[in-house]
Amino acid sequence: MKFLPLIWAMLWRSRARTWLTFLSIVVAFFLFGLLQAVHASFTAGVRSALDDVLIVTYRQGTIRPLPAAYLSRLTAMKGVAAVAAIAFLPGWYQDPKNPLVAIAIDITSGASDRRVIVAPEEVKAFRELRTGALAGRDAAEKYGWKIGDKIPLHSPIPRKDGAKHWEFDLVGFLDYDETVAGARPSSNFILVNFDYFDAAVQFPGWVMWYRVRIADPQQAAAIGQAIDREFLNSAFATRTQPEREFQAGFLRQFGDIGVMVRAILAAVFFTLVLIAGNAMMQAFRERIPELAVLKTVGFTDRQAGALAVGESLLLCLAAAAIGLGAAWLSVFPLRRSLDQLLAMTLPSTTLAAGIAIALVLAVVAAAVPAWKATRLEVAAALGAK
Amino acid sequence: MHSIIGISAMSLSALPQRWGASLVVVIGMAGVVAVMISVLAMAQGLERTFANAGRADRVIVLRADDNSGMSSAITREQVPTVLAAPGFARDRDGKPLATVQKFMTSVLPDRKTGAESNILLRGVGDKAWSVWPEVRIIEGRRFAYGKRELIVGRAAQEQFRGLDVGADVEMVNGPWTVVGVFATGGSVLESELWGDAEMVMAGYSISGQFSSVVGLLESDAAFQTLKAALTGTPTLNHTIKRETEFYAEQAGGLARLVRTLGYVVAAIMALGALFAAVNTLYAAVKVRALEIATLRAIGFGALPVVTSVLLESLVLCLAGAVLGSALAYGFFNGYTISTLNAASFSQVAFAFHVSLGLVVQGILWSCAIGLLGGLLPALRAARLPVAEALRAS
Repeated sequence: MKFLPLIWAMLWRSRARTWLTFLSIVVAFFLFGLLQAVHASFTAGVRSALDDVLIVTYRQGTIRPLPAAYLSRLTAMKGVAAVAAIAFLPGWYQDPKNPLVAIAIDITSGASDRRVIVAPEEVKAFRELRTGALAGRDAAEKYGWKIGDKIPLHSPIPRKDGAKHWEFDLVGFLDYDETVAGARPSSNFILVNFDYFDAAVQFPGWVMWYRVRIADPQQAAAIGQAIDREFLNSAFATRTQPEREFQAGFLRQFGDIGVMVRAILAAVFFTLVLIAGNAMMQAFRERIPELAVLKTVGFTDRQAGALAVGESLLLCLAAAAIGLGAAWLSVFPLRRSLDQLLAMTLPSTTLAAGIAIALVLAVVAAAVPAWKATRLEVAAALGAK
Repeated sequence: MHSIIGISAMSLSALPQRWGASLVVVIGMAGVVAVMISVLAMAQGLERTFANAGRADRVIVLRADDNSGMSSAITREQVPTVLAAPGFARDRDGKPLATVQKFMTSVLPDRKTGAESNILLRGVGDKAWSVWPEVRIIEGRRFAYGKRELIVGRAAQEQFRGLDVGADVEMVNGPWTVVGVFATGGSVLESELWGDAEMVMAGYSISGQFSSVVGLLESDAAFQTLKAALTGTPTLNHTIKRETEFYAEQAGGLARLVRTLGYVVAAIMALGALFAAVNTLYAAVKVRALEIATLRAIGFGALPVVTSVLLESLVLCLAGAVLGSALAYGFFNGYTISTLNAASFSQVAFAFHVSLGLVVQGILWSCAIGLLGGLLPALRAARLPVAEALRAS
């Protein structure tokens, strides 16, 4: 600890270069944090998928709904614990610029999403009011909703009378349980009662997909095949996938663009780290005579090396912490402005990985010159330029 | 002038001695330019692919409250009213050069990964070949009306498995046969499958409605005539949009996002490269201190010294820019990737387009960074106290 002032003094030997190195590292880690946040948000659905949930869609994807009558047939199948029918009511809130989707589901079915948390009294209120709605935290925060608010939704899907204006009563809120979900998927939606939706819509009797909860996750493949066989020869053949695969398939639609963007950002991070690392090494090389002075006044090789590494650690860790912190702070506004596109989250593993990379960078940048310095004869090092 | 050239040549010829630090500048600059050019080439390729599909004299008749085109609808009863409206170009028999279209998506396995992605099937009427004269059959033949036959776009055939001529494809409403492959000169249409609109409707549409009508205008002025005629018809709730505008909107969001990303990332990297240049040149000036001081002592002015430092910086950055442009061009020009077109919820393939303009832009950036990065070290070199520098060694 007593060497801290010395390290501090060494750090500011070349003020301009230290600042520039510091800023490059800050920027590199800021970018690293954002890149990981984008990645985490893209894959949140896949990572938080439940193993005992199967998704049953129309054979050729969700472009066509399934008959609502499949509910009872699915429920009766062997190994199936519970089934929930899901329908979507896409639209916008107040302005076409504010897209909002209502997800119609029977939350008492036992197959609704267990990652979602709703207060028990709000569940009760939701069940008791046909036009009730539960708002996702992202949507509620964005529009400042409170319980009792009327939520108008303009949708291309018409009601019985042909009107495209829907209205729901807000009775509660929902959020994702991050300990179960492992991430925070976007909650820019509202939940509404499936029974009410089906009764009110112009073309009733259609379901976007079924969530099937099975008793034994080991049986997922067998049950999936049994379900698809059951409906194979009907007008609406099905396709049953584990939730994880279903989410991954959705992600794949974005295709190569995500891979490209990640590759490019990785190249940027690499270049910035290379530049900063080179500047630090150069700074140490120039200072070999000074290390020799330290050795002349009685520092051991090890102590002199430790001073160099300490300085490097201080610089890298402080810069990385600030860069990651800035990324962490900017995730919240980004999450709000990109709500339809990405549910930005910065997982703690990213922060840990970032700090680990900073450690490696610090040690590598300081170790090579420090090691060279220890091998030099003091007299030679003193004269080195 | 002679002294400027001489000293610059001398400093440049000594560059290989400082190759380690100089290389970092070159690599850093190459990174900046390569990343900037590739990302912008991606945005440009995306825009071109959409823009190529649109013609200013081709209009789409859409439901007034639908601005994307996918959820637009037009009933069978409304179609003749639209086709009879004034403004469409007409063929020799006086029939309007316009056709209904019906969109449907389906899933097919990717050729490389086998993973299923969405593909767009566009059903068109019998005037399609005149409405889209750019559609050329490059293999097989046109589909026959009244049959479940498909022609597949060149890009779709490359991206998806099982779209060879003669193959049967399972679509939402049953099996279809591929009878031909078409090209349109690299537009988004090449990512689609085309068939008879009536056959696409059969067994698929719950509402029994077409998606929209597409037609050629007889003249530019006809746009207003047609628009007024349609919006003035009480049995219709439709309006028209030029294709150029329609496709620009579809590409707009994604292209803007990619382009912004490109500039932001390039700016961040440019800062890093600038720093590397400043750092390296300070070190170079330090190494050359004795040489510079000697030159000053024997009578050379400050200008040749400043020029030589700036020139060294410029040369390093330009070398980086050339390397970066070459990398971007070599790896990415014409490189085809696909992504989801959110407007049609189906895959669209597009090729990176590294244009000369982008390369010039990259080189200009590198020159700016080179000059900026060389400025401070050059000034230090000019202000070097001669006597002290000479004594130092």
